[in-house]
Amino acid sequence: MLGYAFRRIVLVVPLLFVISFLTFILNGLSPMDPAEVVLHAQGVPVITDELIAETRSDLGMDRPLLVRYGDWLITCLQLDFGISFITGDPVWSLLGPALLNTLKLTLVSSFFIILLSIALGVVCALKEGKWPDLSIRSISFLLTSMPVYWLAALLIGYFSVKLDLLPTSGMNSLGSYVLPVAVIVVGYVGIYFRIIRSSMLSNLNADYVLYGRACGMTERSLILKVLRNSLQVAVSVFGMAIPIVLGSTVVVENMFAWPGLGTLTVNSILGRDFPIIQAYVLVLAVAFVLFNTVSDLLNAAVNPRLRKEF
Amino acid sequence: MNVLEVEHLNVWEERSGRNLVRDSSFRLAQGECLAIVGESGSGKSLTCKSIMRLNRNGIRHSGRIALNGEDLSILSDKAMRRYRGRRLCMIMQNGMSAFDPSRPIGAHLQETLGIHYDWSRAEREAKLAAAMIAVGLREPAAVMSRYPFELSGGMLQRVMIALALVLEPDVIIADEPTTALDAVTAYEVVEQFVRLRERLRSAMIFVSHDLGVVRRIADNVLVMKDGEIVEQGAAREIFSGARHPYTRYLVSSKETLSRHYKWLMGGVDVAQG
Ligand SMILES: Nc1ncnc2c1ncn2[C@@H]1O[C@H](COP(=O)(O)OP(=O)(O)OP(=O)(O)O)[C@@H](O)[C@H]1O
Ligand SMILES: [Mg+2]
Repeated sequence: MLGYAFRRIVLVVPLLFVISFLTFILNGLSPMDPAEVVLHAQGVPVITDELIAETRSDLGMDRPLLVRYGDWLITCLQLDFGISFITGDPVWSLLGPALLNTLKLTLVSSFFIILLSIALGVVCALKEGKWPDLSIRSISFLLTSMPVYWLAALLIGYFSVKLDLLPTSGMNSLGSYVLPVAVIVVGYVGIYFRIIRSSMLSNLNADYVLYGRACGMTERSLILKVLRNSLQVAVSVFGMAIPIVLGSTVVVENMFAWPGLGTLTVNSILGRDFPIIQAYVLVLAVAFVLFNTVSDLLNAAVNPRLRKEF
Repeated sequence: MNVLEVEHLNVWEERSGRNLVRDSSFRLAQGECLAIVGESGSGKSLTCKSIMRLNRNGIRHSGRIALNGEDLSILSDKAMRRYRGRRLCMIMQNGMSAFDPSRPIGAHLQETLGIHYDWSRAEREAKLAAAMIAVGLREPAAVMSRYPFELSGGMLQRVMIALALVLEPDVIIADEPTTALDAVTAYEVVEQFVRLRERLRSAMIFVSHDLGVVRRIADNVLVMKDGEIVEQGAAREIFSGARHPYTRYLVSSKETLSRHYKWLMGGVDVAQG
């Protein structure tokens, strides 16, 4: 297992290089010349071609691509992503807190998504075709097919406006979490509990359960084995789910005015604030890779086959 | 004294009411090996599972199934569970899928013996090791620490036979235990079944498509077609003079096949010589 973990982690390093390099190239695709941007930012009244060329060499932009990439990477590692075009603040001073807020929302939501999906999936599989299975599946079908906007509006209308129980927006208290988390969880549980359910069912019908029964094993012991094998699928599915939730909080954050990455990026895209967009892409890509690696490691910890064949 | 008596076994699908096995009756004397043959879908596996009371949800059966004179259908679930493995032992077709993929083989074997006998862990291990050596698994400790996907189909089949050897059941039910194996391995596994019969005095139900294997191992044969028993009798008689046209068809197609096979092999020999 340790050997596997080591090899898996070593593999991440080249991947991170590729990702950061691509993000770096992305920078060059922006329609504005960085030298021009800097001159504008410094408030230079007349921008001549010579001035631009001079600034370019001041900025080191006439050096080879790889050298510039190296420099850029080192500044990134120090969390220095440059200055926001709009506010003039360092990018990290805006992105850092927003990232933290989004991570909080993501992790709390993911926790409930995982908990509910496993609970509902297991109940449905064990009661396949009976009323708990049928009712859970139809309710979830109803909820999942509701547009996120509509659901959010309904919840805000009822719990915040009518009952005045929960805040409509912002992130001031624990109560602020309830509605955004509920909207995210409803959207995903419907998908993930089905995966758990079908993986439980295929395990329940597997030969090893029949042979276990034929050997006199108890239902309890067999259900534990089935759970363990079904959760192997779950671990990799959820490992992927967390980054997906992370990337998709944009809509919910905007509806509930959550001061997170989603809100920040939408504003940055509208204002063409390229340094923030670039840093967002980089941070999210790195987060994807890290979550993926962790889920692979967890997966290997529960699945002997993966561990041995890698 | 019959070890197992099956009388008027009917198996049907609950939802559609479709009959899957119709009015099937047969008996097994101590030490007897009964082969069940018949085409795919004729109800062989359902017959085996009904005896074990392991039909899936949605499949029902009726009729009297008695083990040493005791009617199994009136046993509580718990009592029936204690009979499975200890008195009625099943050997599966595909060893690869018969064991929990996330645990070593030894865990299954230990757990099974732990249910039926109060031996210490070390005793269980010693008995398993001896049985494994008896069925030709040379390094029992290594085999027990392996995961199912690390062993071959033939080895897993031997593991199941070894477990049966330790459990000493009254009846062994083997549902096509050699179908998933290549010809050479299948031959070796059949030999292990023959020796298992010699060692234990258990009765055996042996389901097979392969009439060559049936001739090697079975005392009596039961021929099924579309959920019904069309013929049963001593293996020798069935092979020499089947009464039912379907059995004659089975035997003759088998013989054509083996003649064809011999001719092929002969052809190869000629080509090589
Ligand atoms: N769970 C089930 N639900 C509905 N029908 C079933 C089920 N299991 C088996 N059957 C039907 O019962 C019939 C007999 O099945 P069975 O598995 O006993 O055949 P078999 O003789 O063992 O065939 P094979 O040689 O392919 O193993 C088949 O027609 C099959 O379609
Ligand atoms: Mg079958």
